[in-house]
Parts: sequence; C-alpha cells; structure tokens
Amino acid sequence: MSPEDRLSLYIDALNQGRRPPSCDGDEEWELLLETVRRVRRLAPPAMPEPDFPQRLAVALSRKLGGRRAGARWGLRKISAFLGTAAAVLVLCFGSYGYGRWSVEGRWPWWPPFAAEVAQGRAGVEQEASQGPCPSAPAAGMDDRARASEQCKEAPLVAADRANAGPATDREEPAAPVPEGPSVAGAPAGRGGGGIVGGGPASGNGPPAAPAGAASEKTQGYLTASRAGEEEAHRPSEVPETGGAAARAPAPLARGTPATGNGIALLFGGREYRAVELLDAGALPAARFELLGEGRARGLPDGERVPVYRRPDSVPTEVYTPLDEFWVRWAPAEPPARGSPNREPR
Amino acid sequence: MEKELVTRARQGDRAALEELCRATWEPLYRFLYYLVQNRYEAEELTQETYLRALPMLDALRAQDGAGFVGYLKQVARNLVRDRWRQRSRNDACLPDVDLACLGSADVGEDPAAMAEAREEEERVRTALASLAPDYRRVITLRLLDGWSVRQTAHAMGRSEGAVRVLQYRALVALRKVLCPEKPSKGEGDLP
Repeated sequence: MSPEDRLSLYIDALNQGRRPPSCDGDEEWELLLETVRRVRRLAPPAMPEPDFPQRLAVALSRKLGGRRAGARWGLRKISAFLGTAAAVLVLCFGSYGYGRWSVEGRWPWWPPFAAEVAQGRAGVEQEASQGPCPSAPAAGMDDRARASEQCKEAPLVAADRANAGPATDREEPAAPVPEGPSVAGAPAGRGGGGIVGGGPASGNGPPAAPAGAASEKTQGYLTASRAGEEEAHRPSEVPETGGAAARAPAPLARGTPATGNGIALLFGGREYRAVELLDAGALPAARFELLGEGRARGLPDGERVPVYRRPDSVPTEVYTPLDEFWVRWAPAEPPARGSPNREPR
Repeated sequence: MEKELVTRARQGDRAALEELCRATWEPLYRFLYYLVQNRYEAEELTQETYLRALPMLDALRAQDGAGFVGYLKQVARNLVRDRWRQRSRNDACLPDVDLACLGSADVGEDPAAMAEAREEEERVRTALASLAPDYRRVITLRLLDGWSVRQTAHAMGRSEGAVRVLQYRALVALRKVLCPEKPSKGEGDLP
C-alpha cells in the first residue's frame, strides 16, 4: 500500500471515530501522523455518544469487578496451595523425629494400611490411659511437646513399634526377621499394659505388613527387656521369675544399656545379653556381616535369629535384627583372659 | 466528595462509579481527544485511564490539590506516551507539544499552559496559511471539516487518487513548515 493510501486511511479513521489502522512506520511517518493530529486540534473535538458516561460506568464496573474477582481468586489459589503444602510438610516430617512410618516410607492413610494404623492408635490410647511417662514433664506442656522433649530418648513404646513394617521393607540391611509365634505370656494386643510415654502420643505410625508375627515379637522383646530393667532397679518389688510372661511389661531403652533385662541370646556356645536397641536407619547395611544363627532366650522356644557382627564395633558384641531395630548383644560374662574375643581395653 | 466517590466506586458501588464518570469523563475525554484526535481512541483511552487510576487511590491522596481530574490526566498522559512509544520505539516521534502543559491547558487550570496551547494553535494556523491554496484546501476539507476522499474529490474536481496524493504532499509540506529541521521524503515534490 502506498503511503498516500495509508495516510488517507488514517485520516478516514480519525474522521469517522474508528480505530485507526496499524500505522507502524519510521520516524518520518510518525511525524506525518503527528502533523495530522496537530491540524485536527484546531477543530473542536468530536464528542462521544450521549450515553457514553453510562456505557463507561458499566464497562468499568464489569472490568473492575473482574479484576477484583481475579485478585480474590489468585489469593484463594495461593492460600490453598500454601495450606496444602503446609499439611503435606506436617504429615511428612511432623512424626519423622519419632522414628515412625517415615522410616518405612509408607503412608498410614493409604487404605490398605489404614486399618492397621487405626489398630495401632487404639493400642496407644489404651496405654496412655494406664500410667504416666516415667520421665514426666512439667505441667503445662502439651502432649506433643512432652513426647518430643521428655521421651525422645526414653523407652520405646511397644505399641509404637508394633506398627513398624518388616525389616525387608527398609533400605537398610535386608536382614531376615526371625519368624515365630508371639511371646508367651506377653500381653495380648499391641503395646500391652504398663508402657506409657515412651513414644509420641499420636498413633499414626507405620503399619505392619502382616499385623502379626514380627510386631508382636518385637513387643515381646521390648516388654521383656523393660521388665528386666525394672527388676534391676526394684528387685524387692518384682520377683525374679526368669521369664517375660510374669513381669510387668516395659520397653527396652533405646540407646541406653539395659542390663539385667532377662533376655539372652545363645550363639556360638556363648550367652549374650541385650544391651541396646538401635534404630536400623542409623546403622549402614554394609557394615554388618552375617555370622550365623542364634537362639534367643526369653522368647518363644525355638526362636532363631540371624546373628551379625560389625567390623567397626567391639569384636565381642553381636547384633540381631528386630523389626526396624537392631539389638546389640554383649557377652553375659567377660571372656576369659587370653581369649581372642576378649574385649580390648 | 471526589475521594468519597472514588472510595465507593472502588468498593464496587455501581452508582458511585456512574456518578464519578459523569462528573469527570468530559475533561478527560477532551484532553485525550486533543492528544489522539480520534474519537474511538479517545473513548478507549478514557476507559483505560479510569481502570488504571481507580485502584491507585493512595496516589490520589498524594496529589497536592490537583484533584481527581488532574490525577486522571496524569495517568492518561502516561498512557498516551506509552502507546506512542510502543508504536515508534523512538522518543523522537513524540509530538513536539509539551504534553504536561497541554494537559493542564485543556481544563484551563494553568494560564501559562493555556497560553502555550494557544501559541501552538497559532503556529499551526500560520503554517497552514503559508501552504499553497490546493494544499490548504485539501487539508481543511479532509482534516478540519472531516470530509471523505470522495466528497473532497467532488468538491475539488479531482479524482480520489489525485486527492490522496495531494493531501499526502500537503501534509509533508506542512510538517516541513512546522518542523523545518526534519528532512522529509516528500521534499521537493511540491506541485
């Protein structure tokens, strides 16, 4: 199109009050259009239709309302996103510190596990109604903070651990978990009586894959070992019976020695005592060497457990898997002088 | 009163918005029309100015006595400037007229600005008067009277194509008179 025709179209658009055609051009062209406008300024302005103010108000009302709605919708979207993100974070990390289901990487609200989770929660509530935490916190603290601060290193709750999945689900050593019946005489159900405050108050821990053998076995171990501790401290109150069945159940202390807990491991012609319960997640798998199979005393007869050792640990000590934990065993008697297994000083 | 109207309009009060528009649209429209010389663009820019200005009530409070109309003109001026810059990507294409002065002059708030606007008007009239009669006539018919090419051609006894060429050359000549420092393509094409 020639510049004459373009300019004519532009002037026609101005005269008719239409949107002028796209008039991109060089500086010279723009100056020409500005000259047109300057001349037209000599004439009185062409006023809009009489209903222009009303049309303007309607259009403004619609557009301003749309912008406000858009802003509200944007805020709503941001709020929803932040709320969802916060909820996910709380669910993911809120109970991680308690060594619960996050170790397993399983979701307790997933329908297949929900029933087990509910069962575990019921067990914890039952325990909570039976007695306070041994290391009772100051009044005024809420349950969660209490559990977090006072009971982090306190004895583990059997029912808490009863919700743990099998050891094979872990990334950590895929050590076999001893199979067998429940502990004889151990309280039925998860976390049988007298075990309180060792873990978090909530019961949303990981569900056990089969809600049976391994977890109950763990519970048996723990209750028996805790009972042994109590005996050691209060020998006059609790008579030595030599078995877990008649004792007041209590968990084995995590990370603390548990002497006299009544559980023994027979391996290699030697008797070992449970010393410590360790989180499997804290122990790298590659550092374990399978030594053979031992037999745990104080558990159902015929309970056989794989026995491991750690090259970087005390040579005389051995380890056995127990659900999501490792039990550290030490010889019941110090090895004789000159023995190759004697613990170095 | 204006502030109250603006506040109510911002809160979605349709009646307040209508009242505000009725009270302020005309000076704003005239100002914009003066700048763009096109009714469609002036209407469009009027609406866009309100849309940009209303949500910024805090800026209105910062105005010292200029009032809501003054504030609207300031926003409108920026809108027009943005539009021209988008078109040309070159500040040299902006009109030589001082937009700020024109904005105030249009509502007669600043006598100095009004005087400047009158000077500008006089400059253009003088430049028009200095053109050849055919040039002056075609510009008058097409730009000031708003005639179509056909009407102009009929009135001048020329073909429509001849009128288009004539008006182009006339405007190039006028631009040369108004801005003598700017060379033009149509220079020397005078009939």
